[in-house]
Amino acid sequence: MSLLEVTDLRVRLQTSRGGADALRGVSFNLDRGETVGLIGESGCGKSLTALALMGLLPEGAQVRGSVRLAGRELTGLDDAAMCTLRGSRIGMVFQEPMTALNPLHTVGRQIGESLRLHKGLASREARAESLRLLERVRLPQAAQRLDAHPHQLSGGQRQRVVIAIALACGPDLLLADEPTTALDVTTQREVLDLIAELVAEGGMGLLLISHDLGVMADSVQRMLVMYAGTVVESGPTAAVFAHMAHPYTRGLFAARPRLGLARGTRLATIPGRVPELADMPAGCAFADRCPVALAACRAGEPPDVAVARGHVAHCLRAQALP
Amino acid sequence: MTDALLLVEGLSKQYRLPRQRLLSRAPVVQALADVSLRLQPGRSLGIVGESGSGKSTLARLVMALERPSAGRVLLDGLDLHALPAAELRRARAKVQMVFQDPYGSLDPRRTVMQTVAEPLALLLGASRSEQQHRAAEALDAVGLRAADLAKYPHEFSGGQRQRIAIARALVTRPKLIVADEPVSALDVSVRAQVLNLMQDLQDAFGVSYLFISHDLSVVDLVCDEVIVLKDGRIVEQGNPDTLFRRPTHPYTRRLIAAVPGRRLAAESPRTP
Repeated sequence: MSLLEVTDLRVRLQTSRGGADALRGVSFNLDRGETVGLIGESGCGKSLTALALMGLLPEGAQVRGSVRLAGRELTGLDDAAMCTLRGSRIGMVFQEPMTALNPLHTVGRQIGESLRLHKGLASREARAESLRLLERVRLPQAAQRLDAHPHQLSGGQRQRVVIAIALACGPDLLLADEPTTALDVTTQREVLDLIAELVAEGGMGLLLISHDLGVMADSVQRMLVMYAGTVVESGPTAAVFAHMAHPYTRGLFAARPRLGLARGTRLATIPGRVPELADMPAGCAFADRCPVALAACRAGEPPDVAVARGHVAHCLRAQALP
Repeated sequence: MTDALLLVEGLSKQYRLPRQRLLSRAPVVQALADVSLRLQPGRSLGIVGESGSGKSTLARLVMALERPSAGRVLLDGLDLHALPAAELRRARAKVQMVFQDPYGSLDPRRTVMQTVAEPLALLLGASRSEQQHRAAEALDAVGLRAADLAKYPHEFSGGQRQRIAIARALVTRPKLIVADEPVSALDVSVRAQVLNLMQDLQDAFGVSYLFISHDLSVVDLVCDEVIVLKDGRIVEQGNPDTLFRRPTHPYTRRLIAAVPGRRLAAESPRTP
């Protein structure tokens, strides 16, 4: 049994144009100590997947399929039951540390909150444990920072505090949604290294969400490429980058500016745009933008093709790509 | 040399912080210290550095949105910070700005026509028919249709909004566009479209870019020259090919080493 088992997860949202399927059958497993990445562009459903795992979907969202954490079914749990899991079994790190932290409370109090709530620690114990956590995320001058407010810290330091909060109760699963997007490159590197180290030593599972192919290549063992609410390619990170079995993955890769391109090079672009949730086509959602699509691609949902062991492409043409 | 479009000489900017104690002096932060640079017509200059390095302060001083503590900014030979208000307004038509967030930089209650034509009316006093004509022309240049003029920003995607912001910058036919992180908020595939567009516009209209970004790969692609800023000072400067391949300053080396996915960069992308 894996730590996290997501099976055919579907989410239907209420929009101004009626119901729309925002997640259309997402399945994956995550073991302890394993790192998995979700990559895709805005609106592909990567953050929605994270929200569904945490039971934080918007009002009126309908969830189908199954999410099991250590064998326990999470879909259908009521708010009170989800609350005991969030912050204790599932730790979360968000993109913008300034909005994730409460500006009016000290750092020590915010870390201590989940310790008091989930572990029932008294405030003195919680403070001692908070200090230990701040030292573990290597916040400089941790003892003084315990009484600092978020605005007195830099972006990277704030993200270390958010990570300390996420780790406070020793979660089984760490969900990090674009944890370094708001940070400078050098700080990004430090924070990613810190997360990798904590995941390795704590034996947690890490689900990392990012739009940055480079971050994925450096940070996760397996990755899932998402497009329009489905996983279009999944596999070991090295294998996905080596073969890129789905045309969308190739399009993303080619569109990426990278160091060393000649001045004035025009980047390859993906023509067209992502279909609206409310007008999702019958067949493959990428067909209208795909350079190798056939009539059959538009006729029905594409098959999951195993390109290699553990490496799957949701594409009729996966075997035909060079 | 007098042929520089933009000449920045010894530019410094200090900001006074709130006083810590009643009787103590207010602390001062040196946001920019003795920065000099020149940009030729039709060329692009990249400014890289971390947050707090002074990139955006430099942009605001070049746009004459703030006064420098020392030094001057010459645009086409005109000292922007010494011009009387009326002449500064005329000079502003020559330099326009594109911001990072296309959701925050467009007024949601104004049509594309109102947004794009506004600089024409304000800076050049253009007639309504000329505004209409030039706004349509600018939209065409960025790959949108004249019919889009009547629409509102919410009807467009992020990439299209950034095109509208670029059209607004182009409409006065500026010689210089100051672009502050113009693609950082965009998705990978949309980022590629906007970068291509900016390069096409440079070829077509000979506009110069002062291109501010924390993303070294973007600057490497678009710029003829790069300046690395740290704590308000220029620590290294040069052609991107040389600077990114053989950086001499330890800070530049640190920036390059932190770029994610460097293993990927070595592989050649396959096209389907």
